[in-house]
Amino acid sequence: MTSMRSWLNPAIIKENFKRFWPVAAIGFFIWFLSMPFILIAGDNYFPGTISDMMSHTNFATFSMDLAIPISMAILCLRYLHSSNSAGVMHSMPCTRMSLYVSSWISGFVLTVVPVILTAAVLLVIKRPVIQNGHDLFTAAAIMKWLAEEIVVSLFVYSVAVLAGMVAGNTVLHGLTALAFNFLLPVLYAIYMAFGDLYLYGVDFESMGAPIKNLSPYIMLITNRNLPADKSVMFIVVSIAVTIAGYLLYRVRPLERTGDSYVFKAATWIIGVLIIYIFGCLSGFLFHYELGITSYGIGILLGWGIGQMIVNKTTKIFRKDCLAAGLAGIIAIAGIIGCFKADILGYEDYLPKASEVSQISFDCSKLNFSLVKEGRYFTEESDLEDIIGFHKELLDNKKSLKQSLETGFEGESCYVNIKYKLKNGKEVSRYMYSLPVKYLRESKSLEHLWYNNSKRADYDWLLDAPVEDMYVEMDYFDSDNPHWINLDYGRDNAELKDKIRQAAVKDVSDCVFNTMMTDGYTCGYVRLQVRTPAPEDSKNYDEYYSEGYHEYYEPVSTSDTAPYVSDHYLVRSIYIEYSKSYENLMDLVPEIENYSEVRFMEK
Amino acid sequence: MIEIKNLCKSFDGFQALTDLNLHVREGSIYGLIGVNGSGKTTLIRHLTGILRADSGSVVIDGEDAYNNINIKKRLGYIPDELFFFGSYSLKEMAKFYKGMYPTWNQARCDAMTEDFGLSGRGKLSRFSKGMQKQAQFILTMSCMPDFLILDEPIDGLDPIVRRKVWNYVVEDVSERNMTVLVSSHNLKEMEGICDSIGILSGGQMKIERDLDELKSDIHKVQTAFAHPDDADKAFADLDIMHRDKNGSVEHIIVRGNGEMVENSIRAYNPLIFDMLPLTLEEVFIYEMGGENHDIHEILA
Repeated sequence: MTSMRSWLNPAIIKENFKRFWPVAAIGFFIWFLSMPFILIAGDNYFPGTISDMMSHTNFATFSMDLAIPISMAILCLRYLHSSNSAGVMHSMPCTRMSLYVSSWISGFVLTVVPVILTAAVLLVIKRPVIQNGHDLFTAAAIMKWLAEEIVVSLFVYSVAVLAGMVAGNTVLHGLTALAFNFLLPVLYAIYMAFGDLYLYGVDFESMGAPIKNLSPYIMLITNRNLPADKSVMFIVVSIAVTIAGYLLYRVRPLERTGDSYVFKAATWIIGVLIIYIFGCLSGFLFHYELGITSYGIGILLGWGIGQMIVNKTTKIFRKDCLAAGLAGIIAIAGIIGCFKADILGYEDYLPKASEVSQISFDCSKLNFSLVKEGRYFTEESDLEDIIGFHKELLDNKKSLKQSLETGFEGESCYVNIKYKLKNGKEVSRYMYSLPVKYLRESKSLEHLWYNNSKRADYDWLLDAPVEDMYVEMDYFDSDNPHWINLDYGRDNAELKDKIRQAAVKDVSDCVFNTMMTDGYTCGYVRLQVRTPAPEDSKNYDEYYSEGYHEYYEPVSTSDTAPYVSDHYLVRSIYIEYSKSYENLMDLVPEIENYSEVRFMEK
Repeated sequence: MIEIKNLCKSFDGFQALTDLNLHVREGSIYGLIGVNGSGKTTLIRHLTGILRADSGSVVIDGEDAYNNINIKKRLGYIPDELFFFGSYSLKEMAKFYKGMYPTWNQARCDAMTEDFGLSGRGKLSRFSKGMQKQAQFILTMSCMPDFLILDEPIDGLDPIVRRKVWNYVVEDVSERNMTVLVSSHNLKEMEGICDSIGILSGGQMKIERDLDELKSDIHKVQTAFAHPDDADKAFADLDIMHRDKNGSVEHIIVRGNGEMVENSIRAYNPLIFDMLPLTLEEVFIYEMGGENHDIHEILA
């Protein structure tokens, strides 16, 4: 009991509960209004509403997940940020550990009580809400929602407590808590922006994926859920942050209470970070207008504002402040230099075909889905062609980069190459604004197209029963544009069959040069064949790689989730056709004459 | 027993305390004197376990004071700048103190609240500064501390309340053998209360003395002789700390046994001989080197 009292002080916990419960009550009130009240008041037990709630798509998640943990950390640690209270509290019979643990626990309990109460109310008012044969509003779903909210609260709260340990006053505690919670994502976003600015071939989307791993809050509001492994990771990080907070508390110099930051190192690091972030943001915003000067403006602004904040004085023309400014300049110059020199060899990275298991290749000008099933290339010759094409791009990187900056005449397109290596690693490159005329001369690309054309098999489309086929056709006549839609099973089966035959013939005859030169699209045809999902349940990714996708929305985005076998699957082909697609063009008059076809003036 | 040895503390390059030594006997009242900025509060914050020393030791009853729960349980502290939880009443603060201090004495708290005439239910934030000081005094004394640390405790208190405060302190010292350290910038305030005095200046302990010993050991004498040479002869064997002459009247500050001093002077048949009372301030002035010393600045 004695040892227990040495790290836990019931009087402090009780006092914090007594003083700060109204904040938790307000939190619960907002949660209640955002979730249970909406259901009860309007009897809104709709799948969409429940789905949004259980996937954290509401105002409360955006606001309360930040506001409550940070407010609680500020309130429970407020005694640290005034010299009077810090003096009195630290002279009382409790160790720093018991003060820290007691404050931490009381703040965390008050943080999570509102969500626990909300979950309890949801459990009481729940009733079956069925979508696609599944109950969305189960006790398990509510408990999952609760667990995810608690993980986010834990993370935000422990980071806010850590911020409290370095901050010297309450205002700075709040700002630092907010900043610390987003510090790593912001730094990573800056890293990405530098990549986008200085590296050729950066796939922003793929590069940005890890940003979610840096904050459960960001993951929750973008992914709508927290996978179990990520939750464990965030819990471990929160524990580590909490321990780090205690270690800082042990050495916290109380004599510096009232300053912006109590540790000299924190003052310096935060000052430099402000300069760095201001400099980078200004650089990204005004880079094209002002060049390198844009960084200078941000650095100056960040130095002025940052040093005044961290040193709590307007007297910033001192050695230490100027040194921080210099460090900020060096940091920005250093990172620009690293990216310009591409020290990690990002731009020139090219895997060997033997290292690659599959490649996803996407070219806006070359629709491989016409000649290929699924999205992945796995044939060795295809892998070599794509790598060869990538090499051609890298060999001409200088001129292509220049054309990006100066512009060029003619049509442009983008290319996205995603390598999946045998060691499990994924490498993605995205080249945009490529001149089409450059692609047209690529032997590797031409070879890739013809190889796949030869292997193309349209039996799945040609052999499908017409009633299971859905045809959507759009024709843009410059004089008389039409939108034509033939629903499967209800419309002219013969006409649908003719369209299918014509489409397959046109696509089979399609030559590389035609694809690359014909810029004028006069319409599109989408042919979809519906088929029940086979008994052997695969995950979505496997089906997708075979050219299928789920018929019903929403599509499960989880690669590991087993595919629901009672769903229908759809295979489709989408053709943007031009005047050179003779067989399709020949059918246009017949389609227009077909009495049941619905026309729509555009 | 409170003992500080070679305590050093600096803030951002500013040396707040330098090689400071302090000794407070058990069951005594120690007056820590110094002007604003002399380091009194910094020293007290080391004693109360709030600040960690750069070097040196702060020991209370044989244990290091920093972050020591056993010492803190026995220690009462009234800071110069008070702190109460916002919107709390004296009664609510008392409940909190009761949870914090195992030695809390509710009966004493109730009695003292009544004695000082304070409202237990009124918000402390609405109390005057003097009333807040009294409230803090009640809270601290109700913890029944073995060690009481008071930082400028009587600032803002009227003379009647001051007397009450000192009565409680002295009572606890005599009845419970409580050890007290009280800081003040006013030496006169400490006269008659303290057993020992330490004078702090620029973060250094200038002098530390037991008052009874000090006062009985230094004397102010006014004397005159028929022959001027007699004065020199009479003072020859005395430990003269200060001597000045106004006409034929000699004023001396002399250290030593009072009877012996009187006998030595009377042996030369002085025309006038008076042993005058010394104020504490005068004692310290001459103890520290006389009127030319910067003690006036130290004692303000």
